[in-house]
Amino acid sequence: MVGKVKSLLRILGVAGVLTAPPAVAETNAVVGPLTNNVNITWNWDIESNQQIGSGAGGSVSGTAGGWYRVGSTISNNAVANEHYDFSSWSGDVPAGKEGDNPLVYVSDRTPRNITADFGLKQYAVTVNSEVDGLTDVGNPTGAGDYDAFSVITSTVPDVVVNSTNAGIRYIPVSHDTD
Amino acid sequence: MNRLKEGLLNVVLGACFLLPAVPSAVADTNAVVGPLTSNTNITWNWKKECYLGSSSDTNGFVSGSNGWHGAGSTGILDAVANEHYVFDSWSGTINSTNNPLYVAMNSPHTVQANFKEKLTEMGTPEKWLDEHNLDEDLTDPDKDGHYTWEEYVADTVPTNTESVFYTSINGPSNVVLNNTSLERTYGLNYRESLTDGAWQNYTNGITGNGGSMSIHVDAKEESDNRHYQGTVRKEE
Repeated sequence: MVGKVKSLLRILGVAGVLTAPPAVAETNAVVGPLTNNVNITWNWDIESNQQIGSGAGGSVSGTAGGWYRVGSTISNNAVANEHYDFSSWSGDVPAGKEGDNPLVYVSDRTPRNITADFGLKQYAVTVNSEVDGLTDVGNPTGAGDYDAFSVITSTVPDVVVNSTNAGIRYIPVSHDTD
Repeated sequence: MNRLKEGLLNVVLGACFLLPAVPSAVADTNAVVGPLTSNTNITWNWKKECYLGSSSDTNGFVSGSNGWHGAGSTGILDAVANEHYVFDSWSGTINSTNNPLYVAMNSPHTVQANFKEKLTEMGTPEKWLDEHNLDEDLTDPDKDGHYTWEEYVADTVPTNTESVFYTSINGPSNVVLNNTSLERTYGLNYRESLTDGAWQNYTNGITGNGGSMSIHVDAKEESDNRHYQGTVRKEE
């Protein structure tokens, strides 16, 4: 009688928190009473450790980090916090999938530790300065794209003389923000 | 004289106003926005101002609201004449005889106040009378036979008996105009009768020489008597 024993092969003891694999290990083969020569063959599954985490500005949802049989589908979605955008995956990212979201791949023998990176959103600041049919009066500063939470300043001169008629000038009296 | 100086000063100041651009409204020049949590639009609001400049000739001055005015507002200018002058008109970007002048400041304006001499009913400048210590021109203070207003026209001295324009004869062919002025033009009329008939023009448009001028006249032609009358004109 031949007893087949399944066991678990942890290819790499990756540092960090390991989620206990759901696979059931068979570790004990009881053979006998022997009445002839017996050959016991242990059969192993190959699992690799897959860790998916996130940097500041967001989180990851999907396949939990842990040991997975080679050939398992690992799928994770990078979710940005408010005022952040997903940037890319870094670490042991399968080639060509750095910008994918969700990140979906089939595990192989390669243990992976992947991080979702996030960046502050960019917000556009536009500046209008019009009077008397003229635009960009006073060449106001401040227009552009800025990281979220930036504090910006727009300035104009205290007086602008009409370029074609020195008898006309413009005074900035207030500004609106919306 | 003080008024004249004041007027001149005003002209100088009026010219200077054109150069600097000094804000008259309180300017808002700094907009601080953030922390940014969305796209943001900043709109600057401007006040348009137009310049009102004024000047005057040397016979008066302008008071009132020179300078920058909010577009659509009204500027008020008052032309003040020096002694012996009266306001005449405004020229420049506005032509008007109104005083004070209300200017709708929808565009820049530069105006000049023009003044003219104050005249008597006979057309004699009060300034000229004042210079001769006189206050009326229908009198003959030097008793030379000419009213003061006539002496103004002839550019002679109304208080000097010797300073008088008159005509005389020098021989049969010359009429002499005496006490002429470089600033006046002269002519000669004639008629055959001393008392009757209309005067005929013999010549005119002759500029005075500051003294006596002899005008050659034809010898009598058809009449034994020809009477000549000198004329003097002050060109406007």
